[in-house]
Amino acid sequence: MPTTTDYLDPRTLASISPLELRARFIVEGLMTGMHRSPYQGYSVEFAQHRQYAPGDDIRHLDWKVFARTDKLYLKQYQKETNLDLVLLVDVSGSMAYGGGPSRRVPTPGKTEGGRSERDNARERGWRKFDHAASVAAALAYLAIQQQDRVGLVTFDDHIRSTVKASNSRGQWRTVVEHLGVEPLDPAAVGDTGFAERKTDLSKLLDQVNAKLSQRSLIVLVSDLFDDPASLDRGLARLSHRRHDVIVMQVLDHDELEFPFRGPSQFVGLEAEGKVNLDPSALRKAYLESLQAHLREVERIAQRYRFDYLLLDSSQSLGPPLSHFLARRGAMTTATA
Amino acid sequence: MIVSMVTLAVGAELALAGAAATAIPIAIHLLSRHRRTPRLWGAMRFVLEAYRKHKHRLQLERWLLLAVRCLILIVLGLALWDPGFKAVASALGMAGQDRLLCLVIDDALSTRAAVQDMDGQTTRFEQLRARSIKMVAALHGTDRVAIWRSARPAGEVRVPAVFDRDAAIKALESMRPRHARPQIEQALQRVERYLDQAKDTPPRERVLLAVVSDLGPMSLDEAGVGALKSLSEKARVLLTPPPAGAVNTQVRSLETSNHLLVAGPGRGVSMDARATLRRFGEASTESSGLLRLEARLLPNGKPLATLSRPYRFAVGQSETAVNAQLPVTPGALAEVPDAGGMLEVVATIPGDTLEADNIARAVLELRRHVRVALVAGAGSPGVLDGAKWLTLALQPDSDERNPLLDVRRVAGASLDSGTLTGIDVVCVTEPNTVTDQGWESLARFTKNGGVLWVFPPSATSPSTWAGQYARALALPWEVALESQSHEDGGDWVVTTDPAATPVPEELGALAGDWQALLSPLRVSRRLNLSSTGPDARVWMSVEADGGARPWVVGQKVGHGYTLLSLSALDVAWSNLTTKPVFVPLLHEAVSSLLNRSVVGNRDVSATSGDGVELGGAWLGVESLKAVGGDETLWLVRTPEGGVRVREAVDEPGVYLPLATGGLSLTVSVDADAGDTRTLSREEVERRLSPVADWRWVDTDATDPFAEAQTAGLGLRMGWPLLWLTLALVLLETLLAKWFSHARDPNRPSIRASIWRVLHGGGE
Repeated sequence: MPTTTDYLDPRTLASISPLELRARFIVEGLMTGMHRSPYQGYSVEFAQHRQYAPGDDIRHLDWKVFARTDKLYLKQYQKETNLDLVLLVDVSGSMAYGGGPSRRVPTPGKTEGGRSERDNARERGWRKFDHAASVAAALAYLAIQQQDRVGLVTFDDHIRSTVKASNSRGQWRTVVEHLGVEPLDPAAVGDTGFAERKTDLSKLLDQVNAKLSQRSLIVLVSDLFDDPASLDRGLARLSHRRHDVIVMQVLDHDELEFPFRGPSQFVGLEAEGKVNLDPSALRKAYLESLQAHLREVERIAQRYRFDYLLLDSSQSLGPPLSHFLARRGAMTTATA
Repeated sequence: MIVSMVTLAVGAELALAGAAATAIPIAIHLLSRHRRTPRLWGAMRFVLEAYRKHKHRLQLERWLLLAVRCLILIVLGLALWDPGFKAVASALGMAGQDRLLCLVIDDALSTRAAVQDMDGQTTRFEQLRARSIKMVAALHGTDRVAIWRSARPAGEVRVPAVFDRDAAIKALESMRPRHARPQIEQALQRVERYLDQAKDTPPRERVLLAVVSDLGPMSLDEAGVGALKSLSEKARVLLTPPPAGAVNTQVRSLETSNHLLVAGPGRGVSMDARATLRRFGEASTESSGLLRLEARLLPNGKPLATLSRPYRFAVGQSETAVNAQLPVTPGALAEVPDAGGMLEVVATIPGDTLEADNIARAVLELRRHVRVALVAGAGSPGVLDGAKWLTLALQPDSDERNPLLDVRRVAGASLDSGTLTGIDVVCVTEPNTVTDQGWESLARFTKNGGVLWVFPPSATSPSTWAGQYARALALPWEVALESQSHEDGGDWVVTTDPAATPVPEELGALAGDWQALLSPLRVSRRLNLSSTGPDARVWMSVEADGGARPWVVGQKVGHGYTLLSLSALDVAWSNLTTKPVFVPLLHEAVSSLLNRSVVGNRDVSATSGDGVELGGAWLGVESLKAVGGDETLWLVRTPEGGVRVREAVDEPGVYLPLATGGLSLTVSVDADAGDTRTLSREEVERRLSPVADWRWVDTDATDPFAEAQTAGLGLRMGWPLLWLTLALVLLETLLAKWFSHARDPNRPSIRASIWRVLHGGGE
């Protein structure tokens, strides 16, 4: 019998068209067995007492009640937070990559069976953007459940769209609707049929930094195919403003393994041009270059004590995300 | 010039083919670069980074692969350019055929040998023919075939070459083995002439010379090998393997002591026969058999006498002889007419591998008497002139009613062809009476087989007749104008030294007594013969002037013979007429010379394969028919006025004219050709070592010529190049795999792959 986390498999999620429903699946899976919110606010307000049950955190025991009644009760609080969660989701051309049939080059402007390219592309596979959007929607849902304010920024070489932070009831739906919109602007489609916009993290993070008026938790969801130095500069400024940052790097399994055989023509999704080569001949060098890049990104994140998570878009979202959130929660508790 | 043009043409063709072959992998290489799977890719920065780092190495690998692929096709093209592989392509229908098969089939006597094969009893010739038919049937529609036969005289069977294989096969099927010896060199020379003269002779690579022979000991002599060597420069030489040798015993020859038998009425005759037997292939064992001798009357073949004699070959003996005297009773000769007839003596042995040489024949002329004409005057009663001495000597028993030698006188002045009709021997004792016409008649008589014996007259100068005689008979003799007497009135002694005057061959019967017979002879007067020429035979000579001088000299003239005595039959000249040697000398000379003239003129012997020239006695004869057979020989006149058989004779037997009597042609098989042993393959290869380029041919193969056209002919580089191609293909496979970098931990390394290929197992 399948467990809830089975539904977090990308193949399953890919079959669920509405992002809203997809995010609920993710969050329900994450909440199973999770007792504490990963988001620790700055103040709490008492709400009620509840009888102690084995396994409850004894730190929340109300010792005064115990002294009076000789019974164990836990104090339950109505959470109040001043946390702003800002989701930065990469919608650059490289995020359109997805394993499987999507690797083929579509014919620009042509439609199949009266459907748009966007529809066809959606059916072609699970793109990195789909993975990033799902992560962002799930985190937004969690935050709003805890009454935290959630904002959204989509970007490529500059900010494409923003959703102002809010903890209103309709905020999550607003975020999801923004994410549900195809991030690739048809007007920007080039010869390859895809957006030819490059990621410029330094510029992006500068812009985001300028817009944020208070300390925020910034979740950067991107493949980070940019110069690490640019990321370094951006994160340095965010760190300087004492923002907390979670760097989530989303890569496709093909990008991590480079499993191709036979002569191929690689067409860059961000206007890097075309190159003919035998991928088998370059696999080793490619992986070395990629691994160096990943190590550099992780090193930069760690330099500013930011969390870093590498996500394989072909892997199930549940385990890595829950593991990450649990680890972060534990670390936050320890520092508190 | 032609060679250089051909070389240029071949070079250009080769270059074109090489260029085309090289273009193929380049095209494939270039096309393959454009047949890449297009992939949209996000992480291009890493791909480009890796590509920049390894760009030069990848390009080097590509060029190396391209070079290896081009090399494969170039080497493969060179391998297939080899004529041998062209033949393979031809056999597979991938190339034009237009080959020319020159087939030389051996139809000599030894191919008549019986052999036992899977289908039962057959002959070598049948097997050779079957092989030839297989080869012809294996040709393609655009191939041509020409056929020669090699038995003497070698000739054409189907020339010029034809495309029609059925016609060629029919020609082969119509062939019959002959009785002559093989003359492969003659056949090959004919083939070479044909190749030189034919306008449509293809180049050497497409000319196939197949020699289909039983390869007997006579087949590949020095001349044959030389002809093959010469032809190997114009054709690819193929030989069919020799069959197994066989044992054969033959009657090599049959000789009779006389060719002319004179049997007076009511008399029988007896002939001495000598049969020589020979065996091939079994000298290490002893063998024996029974020889049958039979005398038959011609032309009806009525048996006259028969006898059998055993023969035996001792160990190591390959030839033996059987002597027998075959008597014919008077009763058996009753049917012989007064004009005479002919006898056939046949020697046969039991059947063996080769039947055709188990029989030998000899034909003898049977006469009631021999006619001798004496050219002399009437003579004086009571005077013993030369003619009378001769008559007495030739007919010593004058009382006999039917003498064996019928002597009649003919006047010299009336001598002509008519008076010489039916005459066997002419003795001229008064040559000075013979006219020029008479000498011409005597010359014709001699050339047609007659015996002419001239004695000088006792009283006249030789100047009047000696010149006429020498000119008429075309003799180079020069007789002195004056006779010479002994200076001191003494005598010359007839040489008795056997070394100085050996016994004439014609007088062999007197050899035992020759010295004794000559010793009483004395010569007191003689003519000098200053010049004799190389063909003259000095029968007797005298010791005079410090040396031996001719006294009786003879020479063959046409089919006949002439003798000149240099002393008259007069006791004033010599005592010959009064000495015992005179009678036997005359009788032996007449008998011997007549025997020889009969053989050379009236009874002609020939061997299968001979072109037979006949004497003037045969003028007027148009054809000959085999005794007891259907074979007919047609005669034609020669430009010299003689007669010859139109075609070479082959079928053994006795041939007689339909009308003219007293003439016969005896054809015997070529005994030497009856050697049924065969050369071993090793011996053939040894003999053919001077021939650089020849092959055995397997006629049972689907394409008998494939091996010849593939196995090392032409450049002799086909197979090495093909192996090199395969090695390059293997190298290309390994390089392609290595350069593709399509390796995973479970796949063997390139070193392990090579190890497996070389050793067929694990590393």
